[in-house]
Amino acid sequence: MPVLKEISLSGNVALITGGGSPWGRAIALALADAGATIAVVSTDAEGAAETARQVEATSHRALSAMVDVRDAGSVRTMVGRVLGELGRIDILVNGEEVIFGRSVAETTAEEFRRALEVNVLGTFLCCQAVGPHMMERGRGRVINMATALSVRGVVNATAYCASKGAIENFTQALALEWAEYGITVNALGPGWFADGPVDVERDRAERTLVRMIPQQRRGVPDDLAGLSIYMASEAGAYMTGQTVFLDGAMLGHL
Amino acid sequence: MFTERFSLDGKIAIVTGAGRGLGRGQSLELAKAGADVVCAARTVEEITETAAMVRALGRRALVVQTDVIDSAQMERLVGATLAEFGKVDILVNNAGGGGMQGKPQHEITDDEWRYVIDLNLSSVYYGARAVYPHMAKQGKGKIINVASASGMRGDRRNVAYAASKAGVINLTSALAVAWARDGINVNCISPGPFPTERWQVTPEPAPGSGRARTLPSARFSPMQRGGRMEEMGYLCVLLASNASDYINGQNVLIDGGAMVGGYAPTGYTLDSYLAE
Repeated sequence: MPVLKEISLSGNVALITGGGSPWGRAIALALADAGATIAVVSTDAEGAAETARQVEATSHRALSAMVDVRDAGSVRTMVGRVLGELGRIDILVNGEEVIFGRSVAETTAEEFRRALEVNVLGTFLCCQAVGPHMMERGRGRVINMATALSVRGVVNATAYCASKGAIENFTQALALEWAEYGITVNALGPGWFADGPVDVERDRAERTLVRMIPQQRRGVPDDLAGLSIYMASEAGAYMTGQTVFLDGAMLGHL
Repeated sequence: MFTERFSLDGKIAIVTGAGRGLGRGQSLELAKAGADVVCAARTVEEITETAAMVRALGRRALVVQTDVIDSAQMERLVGATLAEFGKVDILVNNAGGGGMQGKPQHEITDDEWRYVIDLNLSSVYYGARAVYPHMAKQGKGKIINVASASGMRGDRRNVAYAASKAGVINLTSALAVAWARDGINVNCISPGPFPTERWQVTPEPAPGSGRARTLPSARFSPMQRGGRMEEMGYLCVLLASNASDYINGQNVLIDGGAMVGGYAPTGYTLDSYLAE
């Protein structure tokens, strides 16, 4: 089947944080399918190892490691290990995130801080640790995790919405800072996604939700694959600072 | 498994404004990804040349002279596509343009106004309307419109163009909402500075050099270069392919970071501002 050669990631190394989550796993498998070697890291060491096993099962090289993205020292050690073992990092996917939903009245300062630290500070620290290596080589790809909630609100989600709004704007500002080094910084913006099968027939709330999505279905992790490959590849070299939403047209009317 | 989703093997694509510039770039990358391409534009010599380039890549091509401001001609374009290839999977509404540069913006005549709106906005609707029944019937279709950064911010030299492109961006979103249930994805691309034969990105124009029709110079492009035609083509392939099935109603910018920096001159930093 004819496929553009410019989407090939052959010879590239992708570092994926939060790689144990269904989203991180789908991105890892997608980038591996395009030819990249994968380093999967997460606070969830077991999940990261499982993703690495699944990547290796598709005959691509993968390693996994534990990291606390809130801790600069932990991030530096992890990046040093990946560079030591794989020699380079071409693609950084900042997938580690806390999905946190609670009202302001019920949210403690500690919980709010944790959401901001994992989602925003963690993204910052990973970029900071990988940046010099990419700048030195004059090439790099950063893919952050935004969401439709970066640009809309929802009830009982101030911590999550604030952190993801920050990611969209962080992406714009860092894109400008690193543009001259040949590094692009973009974000994926998933809408209503489900990480497993949903029984639309039985679940009334689910039926209502799906009716609100013009495409009449929730997104699944694999829906992130194509855009991830594009943003990670040579084909996406002139796109930077963008959050591209994958939402089945939901933002078009909500 | 995932990379195969980028393949356009067996797909039929219509590209308007295919004779040069971005339209040619899109046609060629669609062809490289596997699509057969129907090349439409007013100037037959130019689309004939694009069609020859598509055939040289081993794909089929069809030349249909079309003026996109005429809805009957857009219907005929789709009819000719169906007659030749039996279906249409992808429509790229790329044709557009028209400017009132240099003219005081309060002196635009009714005819000039209508021309710009028709050329950039009505044409997109005419094209989408013409392919809709066929795409809806097959339960799948990809419509890609070309908008512009001018549709997102003001442009003091060209208000009609700015209004028409803003229309394209919201028409895209509205059509996506309307037709998502039919399996049709409608997205648009807003390209930044892409040098063409007519439009050049000047590296650093001398002040007062009076060079006409130049895009914001490289000084205003965070990546310090213009886009390449192929790069417009790759994005077009993404949006035309199964790799983007859940992306719908989006305005996707490809501009080397120009818009997120507000076209601030590169080298302009917040700390230098604070130090002033």
